[in-house]
Amino acid sequence: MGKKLIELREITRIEGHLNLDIILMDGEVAIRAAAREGTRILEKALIGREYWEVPEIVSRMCGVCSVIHKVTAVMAVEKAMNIEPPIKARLIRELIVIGGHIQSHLLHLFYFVLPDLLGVNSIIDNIMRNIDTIKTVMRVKKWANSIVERLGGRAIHPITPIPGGLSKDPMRESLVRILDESREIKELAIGLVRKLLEMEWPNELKEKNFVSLKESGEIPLLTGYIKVGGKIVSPENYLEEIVYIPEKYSTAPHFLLRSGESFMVGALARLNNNAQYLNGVAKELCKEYGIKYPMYSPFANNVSQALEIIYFIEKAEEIIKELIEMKTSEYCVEVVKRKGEGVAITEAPRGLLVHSYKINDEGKVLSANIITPTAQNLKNIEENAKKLVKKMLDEGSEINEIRKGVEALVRSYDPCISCAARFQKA
Amino acid sequence: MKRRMRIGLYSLSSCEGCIVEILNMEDKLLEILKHVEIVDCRLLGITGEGNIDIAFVEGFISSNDEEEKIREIRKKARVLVAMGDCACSGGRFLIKDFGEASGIRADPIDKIIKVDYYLWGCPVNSEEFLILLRDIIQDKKPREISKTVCSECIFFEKECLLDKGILCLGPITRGGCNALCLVNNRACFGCRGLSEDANIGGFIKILKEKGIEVPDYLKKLSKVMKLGEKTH
Repeated sequence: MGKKLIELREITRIEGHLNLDIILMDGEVAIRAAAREGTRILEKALIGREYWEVPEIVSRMCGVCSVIHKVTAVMAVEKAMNIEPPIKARLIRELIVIGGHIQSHLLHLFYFVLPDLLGVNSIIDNIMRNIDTIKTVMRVKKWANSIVERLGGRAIHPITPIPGGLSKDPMRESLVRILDESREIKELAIGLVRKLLEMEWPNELKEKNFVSLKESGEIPLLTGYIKVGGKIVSPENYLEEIVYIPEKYSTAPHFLLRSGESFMVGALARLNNNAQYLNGVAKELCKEYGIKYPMYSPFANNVSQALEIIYFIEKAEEIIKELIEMKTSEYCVEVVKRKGEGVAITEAPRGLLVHSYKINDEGKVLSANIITPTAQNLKNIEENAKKLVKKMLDEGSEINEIRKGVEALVRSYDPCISCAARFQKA
Repeated sequence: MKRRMRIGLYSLSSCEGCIVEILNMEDKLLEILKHVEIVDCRLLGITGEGNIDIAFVEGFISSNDEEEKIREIRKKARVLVAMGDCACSGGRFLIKDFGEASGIRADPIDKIIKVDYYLWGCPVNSEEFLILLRDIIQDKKPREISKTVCSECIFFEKECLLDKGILCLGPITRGGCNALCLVNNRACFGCRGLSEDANIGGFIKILKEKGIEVPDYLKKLSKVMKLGEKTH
């Protein structure tokens, strides 16, 4: 057992509770990123429950990304029971997922990351100094949440997505209002994103393996194949490509690629793997600021989140226009109970998310497996933290500087520990 | 000007959705900050010292560390509010048999410390949060909700789901949500805990009469009936 150099306890400005130990052992640096969330073994609580209860319960895994958990669970249950939801329901779900993603990215970039760039502890502590920015963030975030609220019934743990489609027909007026407001919101959001793109982002660390959904024509959120380790695999085969690494010190599962290497999921992986489909204003901003994909620094994940905000707003506008033109009014199909197994892989704000369920012929859950983006990123966080600490020690940095540097690095991945910590006893 | 109240936002084992709901108030949050000062909130990067006027706590207790943490919070807080189903009941009303099925600890915070007020729901409703905060600041006795979800649902003139043979927990669940799930054509899932006068035996009888399958958790819920009585 080596000497603990730094103990980071409950790192602030991330979702959930994460401790990180930096240990010196025979001159070598070792890192342990330990989720300290009490175990929330939701999968076990699902066994024997009705198929329709699954999305209700698993949505509670995370308050920041509840929308994507709910929709992914609905999709996996539909796959298991061979249900084909109507196109209108699929588009509305994508819209509310986009609303959730914009909200999550804004929260992360402006409440969690921006203080690091400004050299302050909290945006609230310095709220008067940044009041205009914060007011604008709030306006855009409110609009994003209003998409989920108007179409999903509630901004956190939305109500309307159900196996078969939606519980309620989305009102045309709601769609028209969201679209009307989007013009002004987009301009405000572009202003915010420019602020971030003008910032000085650290650039010394390098990521290697980027895993995300891949589909031609768009940056996919809910459909497509998975690009992993130089291969393109179907959702059903993805779990063969990664290996579960149990770590006694953490309540979250950790994962590596089959090759033994760590990998990154998230906005940077999405854009590196699908950069050619970045369009509209987001593409123009790339040109203007000299941003070229692929990028390799973990901090480029934050730049990618910023660009995605604009991409998502324009995507939302596109979907709403399609919905307003749509002739069909069907928003839900009848569910016939049948047994089966279904896996759905989507892009959560923080990256690739896997939900898989086995259901019996009475429509009750036999087994459940959920793999979150943060769980997949943890090994990568440890590896890059190790490189950063080594470098800073070589440069003779003070302990306090190292502490701040590592915390900022951890935040760049936008970890969500509530999601990740569910498997083992603390 | 009156001294701003010092508040803390804390989270134990939870999804942090209740704190996110508070942050989602956006411009109203800016108004609130004129009257209160957030002096402790890990999510926002504020880690203050000293006593606080009101502690808002989300999440349940799943470890000795968290038990220690809630005791510390109680010591320094003048008023302590349990936020959301996890803190109020250990997540029992939302998850139904959470804890028993997985064999892990999921204690409501009032098992360890005294709770002054409860904000129910999953997540909490920011309007209710605002009203409670205002009442505490103005030293008023906070209002209590004793009605059921059913008593709010009828105002929307929705056809009763039980009559259609669909399981709905509205008759035994504490209201205050304005029947949000029913308004969205969903059955009540019971996230706000049992109402003051919940009659689970009677409810089971009605389900049987209507030919609705009685879920196992209903019998277990009757054992935590006490929780529903604490808030009034």
